Amino acid sequence: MKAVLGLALGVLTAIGGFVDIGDLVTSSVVGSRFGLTLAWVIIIGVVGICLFAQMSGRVAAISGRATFEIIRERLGARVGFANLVASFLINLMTLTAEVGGIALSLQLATSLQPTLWIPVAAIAVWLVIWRVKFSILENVTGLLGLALIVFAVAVFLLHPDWQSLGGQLLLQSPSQGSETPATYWYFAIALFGSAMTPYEVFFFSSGAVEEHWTRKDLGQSRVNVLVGFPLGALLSIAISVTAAIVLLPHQIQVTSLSQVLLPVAQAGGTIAAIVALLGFVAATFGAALETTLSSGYSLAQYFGWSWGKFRRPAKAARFHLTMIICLVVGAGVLLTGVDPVQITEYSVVFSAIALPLTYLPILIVANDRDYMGDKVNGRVTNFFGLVFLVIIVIASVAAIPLMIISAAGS
Amino acid sequence: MSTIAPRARGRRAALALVLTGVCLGTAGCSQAYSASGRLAQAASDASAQTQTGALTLRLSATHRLPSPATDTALSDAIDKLGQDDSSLTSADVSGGLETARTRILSKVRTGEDLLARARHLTEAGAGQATTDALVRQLQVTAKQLAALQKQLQGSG
Repeated sequence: MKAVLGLALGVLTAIGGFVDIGDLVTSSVVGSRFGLTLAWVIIIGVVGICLFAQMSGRVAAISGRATFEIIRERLGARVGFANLVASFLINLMTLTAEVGGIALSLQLATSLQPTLWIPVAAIAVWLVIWRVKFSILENVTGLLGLALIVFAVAVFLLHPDWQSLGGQLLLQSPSQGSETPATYWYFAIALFGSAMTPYEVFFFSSGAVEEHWTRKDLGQSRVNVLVGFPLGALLSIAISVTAAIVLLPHQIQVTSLSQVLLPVAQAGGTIAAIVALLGFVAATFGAALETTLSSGYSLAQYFGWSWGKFRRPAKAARFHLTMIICLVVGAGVLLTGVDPVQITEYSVVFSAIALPLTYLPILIVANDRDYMGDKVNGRVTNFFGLVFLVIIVIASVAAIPLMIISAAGS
Repeated sequence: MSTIAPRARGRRAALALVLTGVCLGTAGCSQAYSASGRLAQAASDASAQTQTGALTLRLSATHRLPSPATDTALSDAIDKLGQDDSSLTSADVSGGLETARTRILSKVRTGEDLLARARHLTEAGAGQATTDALVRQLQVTAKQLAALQKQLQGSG
């Protein structure tokens, strides 16, 4: 019974923890501009993140070490450094976006300016990381993030024309009304980047070490990923669908978090809007915790510092100091007045650009018998891993030209 | 070995140069960077913000949106319209585009005024009967801005 409850908790946490500010904003922007014609990207993205997350979880469970430690040891300092720089900078950008997301969500709940909430959000993230146990912070934010299921409920309450929505799901011409093919493909890459954000994999792998996973936990880790992530992706699709039903007909292109909330309010009124707001705060706060921890993990694991929440802060001082500095930098950037939604839009595209540097090493390590023994990737996993690597490289190479041609999707 | 490395580096630099050239060349031809493209973009943004104001006001008047969220959504729309106003005012255009700019700017300012009134009404807790007319005005302004955008896209 305890095992079943543990499994259910893991899956629910994975669902609730899947959506972050990148998914909230990008899914809604895409739904409001392209309907469901880009939903296929979310599906491809979630298959990719499932593939690499379970790979990195398996590496951690079998070797007892997190991904970054092994990447540096296995591929050398130069490749490890390229991997570190790419993922650390993207992570810092995502962290900034998430802290901004908390501030914007709290603004929606209180109408106080986000600049007042930014320091509060950053301090709250630090306090939780400093004081709260890993399993509690992961489970509580994940479970509260389930409030975003209200978007799925809203889809039904809006009584959409299912046939028309179904038609949009099929791949159509990239030209949608006034949208150009370049804009379509730019947002396809943004959506792919938001689904495959590197921090999710590093957090998953380091979390496995934090929770002392062993070979026995592989089954649960697989279920968490293979059930939890796809169901989490359904929430992203639901956000797109609500935007497609309510905002697209009015030609409202989403540029702020407040617009993401409007379809839910139309569907379910004030109570639904309040539940969605709770989901916004939980999703952004949970992701801010994960990105802050991932910043500490990546740097500490590369340089061989003592790390982990399972150690007392005094025993992992540089790990904690890194996280504090990242939070200060993120909050400082936001306090200059830069729009968190724009940071989010750029962070998901830059994520896509950096993807090969973060995912190729994982594939190599997961195939190394010295670390993995008999648990190296099978043929099927390697086949899909290589297919995704090709997709990732194409997305990475195309991202900047498309950003220039489409004027960042404007 | 001493000749291969510089050659490879040279090839990489040439490839980067060609790619940059292609990107910049394509960007230069792209409508997103032309003067009419920028005007069309401003009209489209302003239309979206005005429609957002109409939807927010309707949801608020029917008690479907909490008041802090209403206030935030209207503030966001007003801020974004203000940005469109500034970018249109400072846009360097001439000839036929000057007329288009003036017409878009006039509609943007109408939208700003209407949204300010919407904010005032929601703060006062006005009901549907009071806000209906304003919602319609916002929708009409949004449609006019969308039409101006289409005209510019057609001519661009």
